[in-house]
Amino acid sequence: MTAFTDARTLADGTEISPDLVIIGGGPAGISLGLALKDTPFSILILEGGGLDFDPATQALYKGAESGEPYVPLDQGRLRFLGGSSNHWGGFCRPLDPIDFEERSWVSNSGWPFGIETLRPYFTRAQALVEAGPWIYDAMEQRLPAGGRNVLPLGQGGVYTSWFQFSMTQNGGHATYFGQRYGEDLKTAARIKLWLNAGVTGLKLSHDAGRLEQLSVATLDGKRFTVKPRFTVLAAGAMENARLLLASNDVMKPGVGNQNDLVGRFFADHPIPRDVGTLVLFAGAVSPLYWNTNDVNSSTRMADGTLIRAVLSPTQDFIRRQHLLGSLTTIENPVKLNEADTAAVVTTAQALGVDAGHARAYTLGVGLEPSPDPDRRLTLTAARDALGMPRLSLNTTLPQGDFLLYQKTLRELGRQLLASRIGMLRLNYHDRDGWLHGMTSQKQLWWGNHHLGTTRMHADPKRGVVDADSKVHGLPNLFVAGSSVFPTYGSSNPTMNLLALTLRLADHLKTVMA
Amino acid sequence: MMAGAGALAAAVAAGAVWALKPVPKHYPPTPYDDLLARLDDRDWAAKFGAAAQKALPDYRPQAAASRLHGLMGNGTLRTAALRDAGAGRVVEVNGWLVPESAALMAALAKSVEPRAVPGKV
Repeated sequence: MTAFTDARTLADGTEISPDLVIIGGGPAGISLGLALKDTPFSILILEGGGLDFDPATQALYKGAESGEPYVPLDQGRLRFLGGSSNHWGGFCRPLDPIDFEERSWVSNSGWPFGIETLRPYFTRAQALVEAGPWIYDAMEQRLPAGGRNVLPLGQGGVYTSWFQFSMTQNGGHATYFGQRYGEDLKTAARIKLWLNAGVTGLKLSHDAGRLEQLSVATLDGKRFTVKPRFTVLAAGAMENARLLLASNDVMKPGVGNQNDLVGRFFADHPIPRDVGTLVLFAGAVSPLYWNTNDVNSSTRMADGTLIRAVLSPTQDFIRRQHLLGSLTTIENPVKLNEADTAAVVTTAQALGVDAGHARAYTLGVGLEPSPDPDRRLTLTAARDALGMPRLSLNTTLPQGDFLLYQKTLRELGRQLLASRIGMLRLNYHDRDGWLHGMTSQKQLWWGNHHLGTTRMHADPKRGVVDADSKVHGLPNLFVAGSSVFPTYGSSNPTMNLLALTLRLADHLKTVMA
Repeated sequence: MMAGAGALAAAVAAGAVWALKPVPKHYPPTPYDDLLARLDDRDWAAKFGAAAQKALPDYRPQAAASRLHGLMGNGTLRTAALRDAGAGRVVEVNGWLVPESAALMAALAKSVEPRAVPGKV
């Protein structure tokens, strides 16, 4: 067993030359290391933090912001082993096939491959997040009583889809990758892991033809040099971009930034609250749809798998209506005033339905954002304690994205009426309303799913990495994680980025041999 | 028809949006009784009717009645409402998405609602 090394205990000036360096000890970095542990390659994982939260280390993430309100840059992610998995909610759902397609109505959309390319990796990714067997596609057959508690929405553009949760561990929380896989890393003979080792520079050869070495620093002033054959950036969409942009001694725009794409197309899922009010005429909603922020109130299958029903537009509806993806969740019970009660009573009687036991609920949503080059990370003149330039994030929130989502809500409302089970109220109609939904209850409602800053595209003019996650123009630098997502879908990214990481592991086995 | 506001408030406070059954009630005659007779509860429809009138473009009772005759024929409001939902004829009233025939009926119920006479209790 190899214990982790606290880089602060190493001699200043230490040099090491492993076959592969993985920058970042979050879900992607840990999973990549474990996927390669039985290869002959020596692997060094450089984790910028320690084993637990430390304010001084976390402060390295502070940055500036402009544009729409966004979560402070040091709050939506975590810098210690396990990375942001240390505070994730455990929501898992595969991307949809349409998420990979180039959609004529969505600028800059499309992946260089389809979902078939990732499908072989989903089962292993699902195992890593410990979300139970892969039953997303067959949930209703698995449910007690054949899924009769699923809302009978009938024919239409919205259907019940499913989350599974990374919450099957006894601890009652999602899989925290550092805790869960730390021992596995220690027992991997060819994997070393340095803690508190912040990478501060990627040094290219003079001709910018390959990555030659990495500069590593600790907060107590130690400096090291690492000269790997291959390097994978797995530090999250913000740090991946920061490191590439800040490494500008040979390539002035930054490594991989010859086409001014690094840091652009930053994305996150807006998750506005109270976007609508759902009334179910027959009474309380099935627990299948219930708010599972509290793990104890979610629905647990016989085998322990935690699930939650969610309302999604069908692929066909998205195509016909030129929409973006969305996942609408049923949230909290709400009482109606007399005017709203009149709307419900009148509609129920028109449909010939007894509304005597009707209940109302607020709706929330996770929205797919449209790719936007102006939603971007750039460097500032301010420096962190390691001497790295701090980031500035410009956030945009196109009203058009919200208005497209309204079409999905309207269709859901129509289906509820057509199936005589309920009705729906649209709670926001303009930009101010939507922004209110993003900032209500003194919170900023974003998913903290950092995406897109090193986007994938076969054409170097349109992407930072190619279809193999290799940085264009550099044979030995790769990127893992959701920073390569060129289009985002509405699914939570963790399980999907792990599938992509496992695919990268297979590719590295070939190119490093 | 519906019981008093106190009972309704109790029902709403209990979390149910409508926990009371309608009972028969008689109204003064109107030009639209052939349509309004197909409503189980005209009072509740009238409560919703003012908002429905605002939501319907260029609302006029006669035109609304004509439109309702076209939508319903001799059939039930239920059949018409379901047909509306199936065909996407959904109107937004105060944010609520309702079948067009239901919105028209509510608007019409409001138009013929007996008004209080000033100076009399």
